[in-house]
Amino acid sequence: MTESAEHPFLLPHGYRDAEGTLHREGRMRMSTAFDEIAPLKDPRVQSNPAYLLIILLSRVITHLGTLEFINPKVMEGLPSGDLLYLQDVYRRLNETGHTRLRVACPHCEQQFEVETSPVGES
Amino acid sequence: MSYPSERLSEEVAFLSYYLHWPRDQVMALSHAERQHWVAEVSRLHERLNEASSRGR
Repeated sequence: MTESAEHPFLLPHGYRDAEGTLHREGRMRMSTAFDEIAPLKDPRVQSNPAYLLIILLSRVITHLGTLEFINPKVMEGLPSGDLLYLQDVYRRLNETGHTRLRVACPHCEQQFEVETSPVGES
Repeated sequence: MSYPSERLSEEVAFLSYYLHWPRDQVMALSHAERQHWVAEVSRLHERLNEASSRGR
Protein backbone atom coordinates (compact mmCIF):
# COMPACT_ATOMS: atom_id res chain seq x y z
CA MET A 1 0.00 0.00 0.00
CA THR A 2 2.98 2.31 0.42
CA GLU A 3 4.68 3.44 -2.78
CA SER A 4 8.21 2.87 -1.51
CA ALA A 5 9.98 2.53 1.80
CA GLU A 6 11.95 5.77 1.57
CA HIS A 7 11.26 9.11 -0.05
CA PRO A 8 13.84 11.57 -1.38
CA PHE A 9 13.95 15.24 -0.38
CA LEU A 10 16.15 18.24 -1.12
CA LEU A 11 16.69 20.69 1.74
CA PRO A 12 16.16 24.36 0.79
CA HIS A 13 19.35 25.40 2.63
CA GLY A 14 21.20 22.30 3.87
CA TYR A 15 23.31 21.13 6.77
CA ARG A 16 26.92 22.34 6.89
CA ASP A 17 29.20 19.98 8.80
CA ALA A 18 32.35 20.84 10.78
CA GLU A 19 34.49 20.53 7.60
CA GLY A 20 32.26 22.98 5.75
CA THR A 21 30.61 20.38 3.49
CA LEU A 22 26.98 21.12 2.65
CA HIS A 23 24.49 18.23 2.81
CA ARG A 24 21.13 18.77 1.09
CA GLU A 25 19.89 15.55 -0.53
CA GLY A 26 18.30 13.09 1.84
CA ARG A 27 15.78 10.32 2.27
CA MET A 28 12.97 9.91 4.79
CA ARG A 29 11.11 6.73 5.72
CA MET A 30 7.51 6.57 6.94
CA SER A 31 7.14 6.78 10.70
CA THR A 32 5.71 4.13 12.99
CA ALA A 33 3.91 4.07 16.35
CA PHE A 34 7.27 3.27 17.95
CA ASP A 35 8.86 6.39 16.40
CA GLU A 36 6.15 8.55 17.96
CA ILE A 37 6.04 6.88 21.38
CA ALA A 38 9.75 6.28 22.08
CA PRO A 39 10.76 10.00 22.13
CA LEU A 40 8.08 10.78 24.75
CA LYS A 41 10.29 9.06 27.35
CA ASP A 42 13.28 11.22 26.40
CA PRO A 43 14.05 13.78 29.17
CA ARG A 44 14.78 16.45 26.51
CA VAL A 45 11.23 16.06 25.16
CA GLN A 46 9.75 15.96 28.66
CA SER A 47 11.38 19.29 29.55
CA ASN A 48 10.71 20.83 26.11
CA PRO A 49 7.91 19.28 23.98
CA ALA A 50 9.20 21.15 20.91
CA TYR A 51 12.24 18.85 20.99
CA LEU A 52 9.97 16.00 19.85
CA LEU A 53 10.34 17.28 16.27
CA ILE A 54 14.15 17.02 16.49
CA ILE A 55 14.06 13.44 17.83
CA LEU A 56 11.34 12.30 15.41
CA LEU A 57 13.16 13.64 12.36
CA SER A 58 16.47 12.13 13.46
CA ARG A 59 14.73 8.73 13.61
CA VAL A 60 12.99 8.82 10.22
CA ILE A 61 15.66 10.55 8.12
CA THR A 62 17.78 7.67 6.86
CA HIS A 63 20.26 9.59 4.67
CA LEU A 64 21.47 13.16 4.45
CA GLY A 65 24.19 13.94 1.93
CA THR A 66 27.33 11.99 2.76
CA LEU A 67 26.82 12.03 6.52
CA GLU A 68 27.53 8.68 8.13
CA PHE A 69 25.18 9.19 11.07
CA ILE A 70 21.95 11.17 11.46
CA ASN A 71 21.28 12.11 15.07
CA PRO A 72 19.48 14.87 17.03
CA LYS A 73 22.70 16.95 16.99
CA VAL A 74 22.53 17.11 13.16
CA MET A 75 18.86 18.13 13.29
CA GLU A 76 19.72 20.87 15.83
CA GLY A 77 22.25 22.26 13.35
CA LEU A 78 19.72 22.68 10.51
CA PRO A 79 18.50 26.16 9.57
CA SER A 80 14.92 26.66 10.77
CA GLY A 81 13.71 26.89 7.17
CA ASP A 82 14.94 23.33 6.62
CA LEU A 83 13.21 22.14 9.80
CA LEU A 84 9.93 23.64 8.59
CA TYR A 85 10.41 22.00 5.20
CA LEU A 86 11.14 18.59 6.78
CA GLN A 87 8.10 18.96 9.05
CA ASP A 88 5.99 19.45 5.94
CA VAL A 89 7.57 16.45 4.14
CA TYR A 90 6.99 14.30 7.26
CA ARG A 91 3.33 15.33 7.50
CA ARG A 92 2.60 14.72 3.81
CA LEU A 93 4.50 11.43 3.69
CA ASN A 94 2.64 10.01 6.68
CA GLU A 95 -0.78 11.33 5.66
CA THR A 96 -0.71 10.37 2.00
CA GLY A 97 2.14 7.82 1.63
CA HIS A 98 4.02 10.13 -0.77
CA THR A 99 5.44 13.66 -0.78
CA ARG A 100 3.74 14.97 -3.93
CA LEU A 101 1.37 17.92 -3.76
CA ARG A 102 -2.07 17.78 -5.39
CA VAL A 103 -2.63 21.06 -7.22
CA ALA A 104 -5.09 22.48 -9.76
CA CYS A 105 -4.31 24.46 -12.91
CA PRO A 106 -5.71 28.00 -12.41
CA HIS A 107 -6.79 28.13 -16.09
CA CYS A 108 -8.31 24.76 -16.97
CA GLU A 109 -8.91 23.66 -13.34
CA GLN A 110 -7.53 20.22 -14.12
CA GLN A 111 -5.99 18.59 -11.05
CA PHE A 112 -2.55 17.00 -11.07
CA GLU A 113 0.30 16.13 -8.72
CA VAL A 114 3.66 17.86 -8.55
CA GLU A 115 6.91 16.62 -7.08
CA THR A 116 8.12 18.93 -4.29
CA SER A 117 11.62 17.51 -4.04
CA PRO A 118 13.52 18.21 -7.25
CA VAL A 119 16.35 15.84 -6.32
CA GLY A 120 19.31 16.28 -8.60
CA GLU A 121 18.95 20.04 -9.00
CA SER A 122 21.32 22.31 -7.12
CA MET B 1 3.04 17.19 13.59
CA SER B 2 3.08 14.03 15.65
CA TYR B 3 0.23 11.50 15.64
CA PRO B 4 -2.22 12.04 18.56
CA SER B 5 -0.84 9.68 21.25
CA GLU B 6 -4.27 8.62 22.57
CA ARG B 7 -5.37 7.63 19.08
CA LEU B 8 -2.07 5.84 18.55
CA SER B 9 -2.49 3.75 21.74
CA GLU B 10 -6.08 2.95 20.76
CA GLU B 11 -5.05 1.68 17.32
CA VAL B 12 -2.15 -0.40 18.67
CA ALA B 13 -4.40 -1.93 21.38
CA PHE B 14 -7.19 -2.57 18.85
CA LEU B 15 -4.93 -4.51 16.47
CA SER B 16 -3.17 -6.40 19.27
CA TYR B 17 -6.51 -7.38 20.82
CA TYR B 18 -8.15 -8.64 17.62
CA LEU B 19 -5.21 -9.93 15.59
CA HIS B 20 -2.88 -11.05 18.41
CA TRP B 21 0.10 -9.64 16.57
CA PRO B 22 3.18 -9.07 18.76
CA ARG B 23 3.49 -5.56 20.21
CA ASP B 24 6.80 -4.82 18.46
CA GLN B 25 5.33 -5.81 15.10
CA VAL B 26 2.28 -3.53 15.53
CA MET B 27 4.48 -0.68 16.76
CA ALA B 28 6.71 -1.02 13.70
CA LEU B 29 3.87 -0.63 11.15
CA SER B 30 3.76 2.67 9.30
CA HIS B 31 0.80 4.89 10.23
CA ALA B 32 -0.81 4.20 6.86
CA GLU B 33 -0.51 0.42 7.18
CA ARG B 34 -1.74 0.41 10.78
CA GLN B 35 -4.78 2.48 9.76
CA HIS B 36 -5.40 0.07 6.89
CA TRP B 37 -5.59 -2.96 9.24
CA VAL B 38 -7.73 -1.06 11.77
CA ALA B 39 -10.18 -0.31 8.93
CA GLU B 40 -10.14 -3.96 7.77
CA VAL B 41 -10.91 -5.30 11.26
CA SER B 42 -13.66 -2.68 11.69
CA ARG B 43 -15.17 -3.73 8.36
CA LEU B 44 -15.21 -7.35 9.54
CA HIS B 45 -17.02 -6.25 12.70
CA GLU B 46 -19.62 -4.35 10.71
CA ARG B 47 -20.28 -7.37 8.51
CA LEU B 48 -20.60 -9.65 11.53
CA ASN B 49 -22.95 -7.16 13.25
CA GLU B 50 -25.14 -6.90 10.14
CA ALA B 51 -25.26 -10.69 9.81
CA SER B 52 -26.19 -11.17 13.45
CA SER B 53 -28.91 -8.46 13.34
CA ARG B 54 -30.40 -10.07 10.20
CA GLY B 55 -30.44 -13.43 12.01
CA ARG B 56 -32.52 -12.07 14.89
